Formats: sequence, structure tokens, C-alpha cells
Amino acid sequence: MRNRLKVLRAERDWTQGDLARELAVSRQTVNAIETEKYDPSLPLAFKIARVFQLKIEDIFTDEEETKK
Amino acid sequence: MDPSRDGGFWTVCFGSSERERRAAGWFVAACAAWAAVLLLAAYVLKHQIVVAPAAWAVAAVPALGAIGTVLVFVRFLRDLDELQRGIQLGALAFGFGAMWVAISSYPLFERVGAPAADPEHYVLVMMLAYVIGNVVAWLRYR
Repeated sequence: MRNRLKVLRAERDWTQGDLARELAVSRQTVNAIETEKYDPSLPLAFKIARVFQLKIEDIFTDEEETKK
Repeated sequence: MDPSRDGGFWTVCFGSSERERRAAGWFVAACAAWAAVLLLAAYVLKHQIVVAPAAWAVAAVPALGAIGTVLVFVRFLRDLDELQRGIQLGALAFGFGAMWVAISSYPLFERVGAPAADPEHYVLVMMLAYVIGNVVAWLRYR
């Protein structure tokens, strides 16, 4: 799964630690999502969407979908 | 968060928030208490300080302690964030898998002359594999 987390975070001038605090997860979790080593659970994806005031599909994209 | 510890083995695999530290502290304390009770019970039974039926009760205490430790570990897992929980469950699966491979395969090597293994050796294999699982996850996510 691809995501725009790093871009969205940079637009708001937040560090990974800032975002991690907002989401109540570790900085490593934010880093792992940004580097696409880890796909978040659905509740965490909703939380991320809420923090950025966007829809989940505006942040995360299905790789299979983008190949079509 | 102390930046010098950010990305360290403990932080990546076991977390660093107040809640995670507290849960890990409880788990470490539970392990230490269980180990102390186990050693004490083994000493009491070995030197026949008590006789049956009290000896049965002494033998049961470490088992109850072990159950308590498992419950504390489950609580510890619940308090971790989802990546760290995934790391721990992966490491546990690797540990149990390694022990299962050792238990099912090593007796055949014993039959052809390899040194006999005790149950503690299989537990050591599991613990070692659990640590390796954590180290691999740390290298991946630090």
C-alpha cells in the first residue's frame, strides 16, 4: 500500500515524533508507515485520516489499484 | 523522549511511553518473582523440607506463578502499540516455531549419536529464537 504520510506531515511542518504523539503510537510506527514497511490497521488509518482531516483514500492508495 | 534512546532496541521492540514502560516493568517483575518462586520450590522439594500433601502445594505454586506471568505478558502485549505488538507476536511465533522444529527433529539426531537434549535445552532454543526475532525486527524498524 502506498501513502502520502511523509508529504502531508512535511506540509504541516511536523516531525515524526509530533505525528506519533497525535496518533498515540511510537515514532518507529510512523516511520515504518512512511517508508511503507508497515501497513497500519484500519482503526489507525482512520485516526491518521482524522488528524489530517482527509479521507483514508486521500492518504492511502492500493498498489494494485494504481497499476490498473 | 530521549533522542539517544529513540531507535534503540528496547524502544523499537518494547516501546518507550509511560504506559509501555509500566507494562514492561510489571512483566519483568512477574518474571523475576516467578523465577524466585520456582527456585525456592525446587530447593524445598529437593531437600524434602516439606512432605506430602504440603509438597503438592509447593509444587503447584510455581505453576500458578507461571500462569500469572502469562497473564501479565498478555496485558503487556495489549499496552504496546500495534507495530510493537506485531513485532512481539512475530518473535513469539518464531520462538515457538524454532522450538517445535527442535522438538520434532532433534530426537532423530539423538538416535544416530547426537548428545541427549533435556527439555530445558528446547526452552533455550525458543528463548534464543525469540531474541533473534526481536533483533531482526529492530534492524528492520529502528
